[in-house]
Amino acid sequence: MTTKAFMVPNPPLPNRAIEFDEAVCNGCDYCIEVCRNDVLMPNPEKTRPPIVLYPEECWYCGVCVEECPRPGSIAMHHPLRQMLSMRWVRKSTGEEFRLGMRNPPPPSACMPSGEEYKAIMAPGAMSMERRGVVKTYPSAKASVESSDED
Amino acid sequence: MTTWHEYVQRTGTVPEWRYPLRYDVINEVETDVLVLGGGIAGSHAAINAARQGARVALVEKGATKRSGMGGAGVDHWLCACTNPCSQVTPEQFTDAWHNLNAGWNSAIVRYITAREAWDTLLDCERMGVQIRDVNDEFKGAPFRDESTKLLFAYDYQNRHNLRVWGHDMKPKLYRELLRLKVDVHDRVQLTSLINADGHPGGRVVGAMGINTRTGEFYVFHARAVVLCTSYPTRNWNFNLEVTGAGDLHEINNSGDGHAAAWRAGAEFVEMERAWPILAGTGYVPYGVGNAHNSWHGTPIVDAQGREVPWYGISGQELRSVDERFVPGAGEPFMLGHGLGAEIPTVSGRTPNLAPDLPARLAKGEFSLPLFADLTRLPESERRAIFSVMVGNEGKTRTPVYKMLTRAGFDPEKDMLQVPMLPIESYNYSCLWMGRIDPHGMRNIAGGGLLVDWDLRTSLEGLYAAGTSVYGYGSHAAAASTGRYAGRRAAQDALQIGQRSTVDPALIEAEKKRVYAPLNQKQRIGWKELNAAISRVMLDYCGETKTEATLRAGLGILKDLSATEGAAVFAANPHELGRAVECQSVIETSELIMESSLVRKSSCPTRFFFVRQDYPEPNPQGERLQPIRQIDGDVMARELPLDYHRQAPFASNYDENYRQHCGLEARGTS
Repeated sequence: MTTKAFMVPNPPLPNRAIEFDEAVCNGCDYCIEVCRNDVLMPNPEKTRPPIVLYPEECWYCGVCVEECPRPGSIAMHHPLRQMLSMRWVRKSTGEEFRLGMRNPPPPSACMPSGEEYKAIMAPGAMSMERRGVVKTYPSAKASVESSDED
Repeated sequence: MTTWHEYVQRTGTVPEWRYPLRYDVINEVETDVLVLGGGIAGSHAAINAARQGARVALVEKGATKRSGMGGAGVDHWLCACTNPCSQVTPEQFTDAWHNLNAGWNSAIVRYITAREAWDTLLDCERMGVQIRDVNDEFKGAPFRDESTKLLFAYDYQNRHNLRVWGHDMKPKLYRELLRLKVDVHDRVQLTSLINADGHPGGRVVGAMGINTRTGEFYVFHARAVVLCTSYPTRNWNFNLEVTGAGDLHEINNSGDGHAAAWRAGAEFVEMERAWPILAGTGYVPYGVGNAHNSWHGTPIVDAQGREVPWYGISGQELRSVDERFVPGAGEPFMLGHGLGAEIPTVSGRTPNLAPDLPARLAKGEFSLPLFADLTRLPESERRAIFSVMVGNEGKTRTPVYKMLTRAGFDPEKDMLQVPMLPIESYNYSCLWMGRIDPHGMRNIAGGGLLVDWDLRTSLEGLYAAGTSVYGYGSHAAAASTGRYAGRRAAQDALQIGQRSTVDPALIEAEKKRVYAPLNQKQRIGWKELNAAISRVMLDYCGETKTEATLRAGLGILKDLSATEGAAVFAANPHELGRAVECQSVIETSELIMESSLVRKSSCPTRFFFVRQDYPEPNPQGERLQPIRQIDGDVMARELPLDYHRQAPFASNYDENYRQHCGLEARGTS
């Protein structure tokens, strides 16, 4: 629980758009340079992740995630009211899933196309998971984090 | 720690603006060709102007490497009529599209695209974009040509639309821009065009702008200008607080280019045409169950697993999956999806879900929710839809493909739910868009700058490409028209001698205008102003309009400009850019209302335009009614729908193209 409170405006809606994993991000700020809307601003404390200043201006294009030189630093979050409508059902069992659910299933082994396909099929290639093509995605974990987490 | 709130909570301080504030700096840039907007059209325009030997400056509000509506990718290249497998000629394609729209669309944009889209794609391939199945992933699939390794989209028989792996299109274009030494100015927002001698209607000789990080002022002097700043999307819709900018229309598309061209005296057409959209209340584009565009052909099933039937172009029920991808016997070629202003009933002339699905749902023949069931498709089709198309389409690679698969969605095992929509919206397979909007939201549907066969606007020195042009269309159309306009602008620029000088008083007046929000008390922010403009448009320029509502709306906008609009404040250069954009939103709203006043007839089905005081179609026959503005006076005229084939132009597409395309100048064809 926080012991100090500040007078701040209500959080903008949608709240965050993207989220950084401080354990991975080294504050290189490249995401700032590829974001079309300047959703992100450089952190006054260099080497820390950018500040998400204007989340409500995010176009949800995912380019910051794709261009990030340290994959895993950035997780994108659709606005909650949109995320909730990304739902699916497993035909064989009838199980229901949604994006951002608690205790999500493991990533699917969906075969990609293009250069990622080539990388997987190359002689001596590592498995999809080890190559980072299919990765554990931080968003699932992040969506159920407790609110007082620093 | 990620958000501003978390930063404040942790440090107990408000972070100071991180870029240097340079409101007092003026940068003067001199170039031959000035390209405004660094999206798909602008990037191709700049590349092709540079190839002509011109010095080129490119001005982009965001980050050229990734901005524009095609900045996050492209999965299908439409209208590639000259690819070696195509069974459709540019003439056939252009006529079909024009006729399907009952003439309400620019054949100039379509024909140029049909002639050059394939060559433009080959350009992209040379820059490193994958356009063929080089890894032989789809050997033997019905949508693959074994010798060229091209993959086709939608119509596997006529083969004029291609599937491509375009997720990195913009980075590749950006690399080419830098290689050609194009002078790229990112984070610079266009605020005004400059007419020769400062007179609206005169030749365009440059532009002014501001940097949205530092606040610096820019004056660009050019011999020719190409406007590639897309169309305005914030007139009726401004719902950042609800879905963010989470639909297809991004907030940078505030209509700065339209507003600047309107003030400079350029002619616009069809700006009164607007259709309902689910902006602000919509769903993640391509991210929920649907059967349209990238997802074309996907089986849709109901809650009991009953599959919704597909119907062919002629209205016959289709029995097999294969029939969704070929015209029936005697049927014409399909146009494709995502071509521009599509009407549900004539959507790309492709097979579609049962058009009477809303009635069948109401009767209980099908029950909600519906699901998109990729598991019912052959493996090659499932992968072509999900891994190639959804994996590469703009705004889907990370936001849909990667997020879904990393969260466990498996297209071989799972069904993706279709959103719960107003029941009438189930008549259109683009189910994330939900065409029927309960809040009356609307958007421009095809209107823009009127251009000739040079892609020149009504103003000398001002060319236009991409979605800023009347009759705009797909990614391929933006790329092809950008390529063409860049070439033509460069040829024009290289013939101009001494550039004209710019009156310093003009620069001072513009600085006073754009910096005004820095000197205001903090009462009205840019968002509140934009939301108010949108309310005026919804109320006075909505589904139905009359002379009285439009005049009242114009009056309210004028009042708003002089009062709250003049008092809008900005705390930093970013907010300053957004505040100045609101002026563009006001001016483009005026342009839309003025256009709506000029059209004294109604055309609800094709044109989405109803005047309650003129409920009938034009008794003289349908006409285009372009308008322009000189010093506050609005001037309208009439043009036939096929103005592109009337004098002073030649009567057939090919001759017009050959006379104007500018390829002979370099001895190429």
